[in-house]
Amino acid sequence: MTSGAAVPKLQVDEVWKHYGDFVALEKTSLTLREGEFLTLLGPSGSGKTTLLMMVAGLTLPDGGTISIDGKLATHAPPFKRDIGMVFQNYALFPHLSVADNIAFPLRMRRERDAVVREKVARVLDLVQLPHVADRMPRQLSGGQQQRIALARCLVYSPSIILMDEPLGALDKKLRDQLQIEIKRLHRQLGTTILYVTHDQQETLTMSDRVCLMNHGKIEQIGTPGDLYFRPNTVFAADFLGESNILPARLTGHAAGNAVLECPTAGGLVLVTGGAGCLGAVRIMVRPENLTLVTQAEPGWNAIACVVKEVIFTGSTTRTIVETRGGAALLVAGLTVESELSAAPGRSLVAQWRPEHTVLLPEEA
Amino acid sequence: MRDATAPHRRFRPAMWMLLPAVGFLLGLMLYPVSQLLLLSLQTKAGAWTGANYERLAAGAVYWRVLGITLRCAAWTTALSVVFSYPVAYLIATSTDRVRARLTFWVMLPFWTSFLVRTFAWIVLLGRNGVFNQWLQAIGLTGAPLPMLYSFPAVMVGMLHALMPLCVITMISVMESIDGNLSKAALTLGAPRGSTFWRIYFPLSLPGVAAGGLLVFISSLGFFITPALLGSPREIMLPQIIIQQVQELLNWPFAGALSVLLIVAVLVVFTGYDRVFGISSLAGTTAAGAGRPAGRVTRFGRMLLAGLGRASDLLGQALAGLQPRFRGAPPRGTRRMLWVAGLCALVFLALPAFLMIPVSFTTRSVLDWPPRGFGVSWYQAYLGSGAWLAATGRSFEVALLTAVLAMALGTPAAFGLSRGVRRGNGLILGLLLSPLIVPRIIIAVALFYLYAKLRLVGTTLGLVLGHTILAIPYVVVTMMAVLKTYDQRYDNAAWSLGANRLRALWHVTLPLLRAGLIAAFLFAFVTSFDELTIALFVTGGLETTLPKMMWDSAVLQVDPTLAAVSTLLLLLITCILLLAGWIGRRDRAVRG
Repeated sequence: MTSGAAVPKLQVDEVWKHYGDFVALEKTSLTLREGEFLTLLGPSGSGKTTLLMMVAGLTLPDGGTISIDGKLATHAPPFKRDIGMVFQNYALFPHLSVADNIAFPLRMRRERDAVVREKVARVLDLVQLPHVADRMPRQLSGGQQQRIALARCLVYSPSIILMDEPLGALDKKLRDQLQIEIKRLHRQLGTTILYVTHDQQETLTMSDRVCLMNHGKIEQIGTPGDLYFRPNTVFAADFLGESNILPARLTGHAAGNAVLECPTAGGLVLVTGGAGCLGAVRIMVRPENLTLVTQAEPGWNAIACVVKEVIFTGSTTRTIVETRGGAALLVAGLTVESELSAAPGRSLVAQWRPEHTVLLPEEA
Repeated sequence: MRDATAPHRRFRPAMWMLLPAVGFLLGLMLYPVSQLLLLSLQTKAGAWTGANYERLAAGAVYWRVLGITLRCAAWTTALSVVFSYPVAYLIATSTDRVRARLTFWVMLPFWTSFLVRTFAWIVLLGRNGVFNQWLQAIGLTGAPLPMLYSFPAVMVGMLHALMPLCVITMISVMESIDGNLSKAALTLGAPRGSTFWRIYFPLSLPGVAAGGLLVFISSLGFFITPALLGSPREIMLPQIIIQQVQELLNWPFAGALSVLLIVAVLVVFTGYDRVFGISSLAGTTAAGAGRPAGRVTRFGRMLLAGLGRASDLLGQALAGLQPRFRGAPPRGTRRMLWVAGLCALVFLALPAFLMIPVSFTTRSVLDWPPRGFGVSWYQAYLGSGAWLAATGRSFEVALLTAVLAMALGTPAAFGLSRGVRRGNGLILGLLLSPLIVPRIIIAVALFYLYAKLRLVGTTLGLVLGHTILAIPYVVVTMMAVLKTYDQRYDNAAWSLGANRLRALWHVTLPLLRAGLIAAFLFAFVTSFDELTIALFVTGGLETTLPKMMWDSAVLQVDPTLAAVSTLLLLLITCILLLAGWIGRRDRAVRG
């Protein structure tokens, strides 16, 4: 790239879409840098697919602008956008062979036959399926078909590759394998990828940045770490990873810590660096940050609780406890065989560090 | 269940389910039809001879009639395919709501009696018909043009009769084309023209072929339309067969002519099977999707690529001409499709409605515009013992036919969709053969059989004959429904303690109710509208409504027919709305 470094690959500016009364997407803006892997994450109906389809040109926005490579593309037809798209059900053309499928975008670009042949062979090597060129799509397994779909996008090096839940139709093991492979291709080729999924594990594994969406708008954008450790909203905290969320009141500050009153926890809670308006808030603690002890360490937050259930899942053990205030908490830790016998009914203390408390605004 | 007997237990029920329908068709269709074909090798006295074929080969008139028949069928097929494609494409690519509404307007003429529709064309094309009145009113012509009783009139009538079949067949294939494929092509850089010609069109070809085949084969057996709308120059093979049987009583020669007709059908059918495979008739998409491309396919692809390129350039040129409003994309293609589709729908649906105003005329001829307003023709219908008796008889026969066809066809559909065995294809072929063997041949063969069994003129004979025709519709409808039925419901019922019969009664049948009702209505309407078999098998006064309409139309088309047509149209509309309502309610209940 010469001067293009400063120009974002994709610039979405205040686009929105309504279907009658239904708000598919509120005014949304988003920027995608060259070589970035950005995931649109959210439950179904959150607007992530609408946004992707607008970038692809398969849905037109009611307002706002979309620029690809610095060129205005809001109303450009899909075939003039220089994008690639991978569909959940692969969308390989059933009447064309694998090689013809991959050659399709090249032929549309009027490449010479020799070039087409060479590029097809090269990309088939890249996805490690050089031997299936002459087969028909139906003769391939699901995983192979998705790799061919990927190859069909990679072969013409589009500006951006859009992926709409590409691994949704595959089983767990294959999904894990292909996640790593897509990630490898992304790194190796430096492609810019806009990825849609509702699978949080997939998101955390693959993304450079995550755009969490809910009810037709962006809830939070950031690195996977940002979203996991510093969620901005209850929805973000709840959607990504497991969380214990308790209602609380911010009552004051002491020694750099915010002090909260948390009736369901049965006492006061400290939050490192917590700043905010006094009043109703929520606090969130990740299950892996909670430990169960008989005697709390000084300076830690502690809640007295009773063990309800112990669930052994292999390398980790999950314990459900109930606080005196009646709230259920999930505690997760590495399995220690001797602790498996923590019998239901035992009274313990759940403790965590103040810096592991995340302060969240009360939901509107 | 003991393990050792398991395979037998699984095999037998399927066998028993198939046996009644298979036996019925073997005995009442295959046997008499082969008898008829064997007759062609005999003299009237019963001695073996090749004289009938010598006469056939020598008679230039028969070859000419065969030529006319094939020409009519070919033209009907070509025009049907060309006009049906945009309609089917429009419907298949519309949203669910729009699709349901448009489908209703295609189905309405499909279900409306052939006779009613043909009468409508007489009113439209006649000397004092709608078109001639218009043409004279706007001054394009001084004197009425002779439109009726000509080749174009026959074409219009046949096209009108068979296009719905073509549209429905195409839709079933187009609906199974994944919408993402076109989207994928667009994102891969293919303009809309290339996307259509290189991706969508090749995938819809099996539907085009299946629709074309059904139209071609159906039109080979047509005689109503050419007889009512055509001149002697448009006489078709079935009409000659009728003449041989009814006027000349020359059974052997009728047999020889039937052989000629069947050979024509078989040639077409074999050709189709070679290229597309029979299985694509059942609506599975993309035949040949598992095969690499042959030379023909490659040539076809180059052709389609060229077409795609041409329409892309056209699209570009048009986009350049069109003023752009705030960068909005051209919606012109879709609009043109709507115009074409609506024109075709008006062509399909409107003629039948023409009978409504005509039926209230106070004059005694069917002409346009209707004069005055009176219900005298309804009084004529309601006051006539013969018309009412025919109507009652039609209802009786149709009900009995529907019950019998359901009793035979439903178990057969179960048997075919549950047990996967060798020979299923053959059995399915037999069960569907009444759709493929021209009706006229079945009718003549039945007449011959019934004459020996003294069944001519009986209700039983007519019901048996109509059941032959209704079985394929029941089987096809029920198999389509069973394809989406999850057999684990049955397994669940069994595991909960229901025996087979109770599971069938309490679980399977209620879940399949919408399909069962649709199949029943299909069978009912097939019989209610049937003329060919009725023409031969009903004798004397014991006539059905279509036969009565035909008889009176052959003498003179008077407004009583319009009144009867209006009532029939009303009945069909009610049945269609009822079926649609039941289907929607069932879906709503299940979510």
